[in-house]
Amino acid sequence: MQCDQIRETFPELTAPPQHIEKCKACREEWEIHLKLRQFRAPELDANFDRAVLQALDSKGFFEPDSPTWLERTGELLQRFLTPLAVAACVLLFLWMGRLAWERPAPELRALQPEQSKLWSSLPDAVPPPALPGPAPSQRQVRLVKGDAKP
Amino acid sequence: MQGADLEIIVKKAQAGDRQAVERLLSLHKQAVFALALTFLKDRGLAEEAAQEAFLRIFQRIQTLRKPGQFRSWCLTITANYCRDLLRAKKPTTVPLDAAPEPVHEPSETEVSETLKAGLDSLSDPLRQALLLRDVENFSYQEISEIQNTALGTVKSRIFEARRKLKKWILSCSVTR
Repeated sequence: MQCDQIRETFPELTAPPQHIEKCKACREEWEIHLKLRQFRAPELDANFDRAVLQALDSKGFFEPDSPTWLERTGELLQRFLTPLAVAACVLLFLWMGRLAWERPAPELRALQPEQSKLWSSLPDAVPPPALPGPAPSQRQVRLVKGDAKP
Repeated sequence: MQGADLEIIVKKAQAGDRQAVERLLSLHKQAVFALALTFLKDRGLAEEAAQEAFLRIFQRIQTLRKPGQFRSWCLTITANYCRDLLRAKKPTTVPLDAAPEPVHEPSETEVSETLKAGLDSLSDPLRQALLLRDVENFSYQEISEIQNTALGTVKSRIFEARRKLKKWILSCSVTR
């Protein structure tokens, strides 16, 4: 292995390579390298992690994702349309109930066609029931209508 | 971690899974912080920048189409954020008694002052490329994405940085 290749491995080594025993230049490089290792960055303690995690916490990093506009719109629609839909259903139910109430009874609908005709041909205005007693004379009728001659 | 596992974790994080976010954070915080440190050269600033970068990363994670490229995506966001910070930062005069902390806090008490001075003597792209490759074990590809330059340029920068650093150390040892 070339000297340059061996020197490239210095940062990964924990013990001196055997090569430096017979190569003066590489031994010097190794000694410089060992001295350079003194300038390694100091170890960070657990406070560092804690500070970063707290800052992430305060920025809401660990909270669940905020809903998208589609989800928000869906939620709004659900909130406002649900009561409307319920009200519409109630009104529809009432209207259908009223229709059912006003429809002829099933026994009337089951009448024979002639009787149905009779039913539908009944006059709107029903004549007043006849008064008890004898029927009025012609003169009495004329007096009531006001065309009787004195 | 296997690529498929990472993809699953990233997808869970995209869905807002807290445990997945925690896992990604623990896997990549050191790289993000180290990268910020090579830009800002101050531990406090780099830590704040790394936190802000992670907020941006997780807030934009929905836009990540290839979950397998999470690490390089993270590093690119961090690099861009640090560049914005440096661009917005106005040059100020710092009193000598309130000088900023060293570029990298050494893990051992005995620091090679010569090496530190040598690193400081390098230009920013050379120093950053060298630190990311030799110290933080970033790949050439990652460094090329961070520095927004060709892979060949990154290799030549690292080669040049090593050469200059060695020369600096030798010159210092000669003068002493």
